[in-house]
Amino acid sequence: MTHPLRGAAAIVGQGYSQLGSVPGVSAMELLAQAAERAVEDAGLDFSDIDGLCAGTFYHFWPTLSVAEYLRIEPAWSNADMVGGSSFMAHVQQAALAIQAGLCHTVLIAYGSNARSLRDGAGLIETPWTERWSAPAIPIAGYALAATRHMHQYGTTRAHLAEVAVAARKWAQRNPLATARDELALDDVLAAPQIATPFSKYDCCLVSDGAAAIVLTSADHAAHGRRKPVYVLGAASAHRHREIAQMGDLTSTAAVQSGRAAFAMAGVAPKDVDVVQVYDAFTLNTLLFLEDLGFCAKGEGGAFVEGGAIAPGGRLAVNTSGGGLSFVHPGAYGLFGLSESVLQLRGETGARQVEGARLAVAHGNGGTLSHQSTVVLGTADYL
Amino acid sequence: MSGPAPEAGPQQRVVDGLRQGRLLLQKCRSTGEYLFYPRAAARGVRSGDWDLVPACGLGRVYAATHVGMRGAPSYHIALVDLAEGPRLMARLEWPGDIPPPPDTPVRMKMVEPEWAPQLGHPVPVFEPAGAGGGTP
Repeated sequence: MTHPLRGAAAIVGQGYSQLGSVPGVSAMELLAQAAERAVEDAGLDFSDIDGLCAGTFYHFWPTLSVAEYLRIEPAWSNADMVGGSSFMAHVQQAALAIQAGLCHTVLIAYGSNARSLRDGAGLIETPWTERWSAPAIPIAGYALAATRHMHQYGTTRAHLAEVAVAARKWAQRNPLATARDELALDDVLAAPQIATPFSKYDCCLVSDGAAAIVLTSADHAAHGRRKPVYVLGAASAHRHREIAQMGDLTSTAAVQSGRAAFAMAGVAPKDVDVVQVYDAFTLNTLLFLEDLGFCAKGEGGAFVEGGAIAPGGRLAVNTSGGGLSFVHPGAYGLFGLSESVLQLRGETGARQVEGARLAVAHGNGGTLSHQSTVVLGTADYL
Repeated sequence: MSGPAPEAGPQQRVVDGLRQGRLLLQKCRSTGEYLFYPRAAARGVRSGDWDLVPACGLGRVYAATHVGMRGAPSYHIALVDLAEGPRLMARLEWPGDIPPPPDTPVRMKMVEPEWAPQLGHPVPVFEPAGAGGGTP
């Protein structure tokens, strides 16, 4: 039986703010830029928005702050904050609210000036036992997971470097991307390790920027200005907050979120045309390709060898350049969703995956803590 | 107000234990399961059905990384699987800039953390267990 949420809502608008280094512009101002562009892209006005999901790292009550700032009065709002994957979770929650008739049109927005503010943590607290060792989080947490993946599966620094180089090659086709200069495997391998086994090339950018999308019901979407991108499946899962409580550091809750999202959508990884996974660090891409079922557990390294996820490879992964080379303003989830939307609308120029009809946007929050998977498709998949 | 003073929660009691040079683990009476950090109540943890007991101090590295940021002292950090079962994040006293591989036996000691003086209490740090290994 088809899940009632499958195809009930669609993304009908997308917008970015100025991206990269934007000194002198606050997180909320960037968010408002992106929100305005997303609402205009949808052919709507702020007065049409009656639902809101929003987050920043600097506002404890983000939906209150954002609604007040944008001068909107939502009938339904939701500020689920689970890290960088919050916005994938918001897509599921917005689709539920729309399907239940609680609201008609939802704006999902995020903004950060982490680069200019030199504050990537904002209101995030350090767990009390983690304060005893005061590690550099998040990098140390992900580095611990990488050492474990290398130990258990023979993954190498060269495998991780493949991810960094593939992201860079995609970014070179994205005029909005921050890091577009040449990057070779040897450059990554020769760079000093900041947290073994990671060098700076294994780590995401720290950017200023904002993104926003607009969702509405499938019925409304069919008459919109843009080609609708339907929410076919969406699911989240989580098991821990801090890395010390994770258990097996080589397997994430993306196993559960991916399985549930694919089941709702009625599709399988082999059907997917274009994949966006949250690459805060190079390891993440390997973990999520494995956990979402694009390859077997432990085989992520071999899967990406030889430019296999770069342009012209076997699977188009992180086609914007990802958090590694496109943009990463504190949280990346909404940027992966945005790239999925633009790919399915056929609007990504030199990096367009020809004929893309089915996309996966996967988000990661905390320290491999929260996993959220969204399967998106064109009307061909309704 | 009258009556007995309320007993401190498990978090405060663990911090008090550190001040006395001990790392306390939670041990559930009915199941024998050890937990760290301790929970007041949770799945499998019934209120009043647990004790806080000192860790034996031996364990093995689950994963370790060497962190070297520009302009700051470098350090090793590890997830250590304690002999009793629970996992703990801690700094490692380890020579050089190559962290120990997984399964390396380590031994706990208490250190006043120069990296976190605001805590005001000692914290567990691990060092090589040396001959005899990390499992009792």
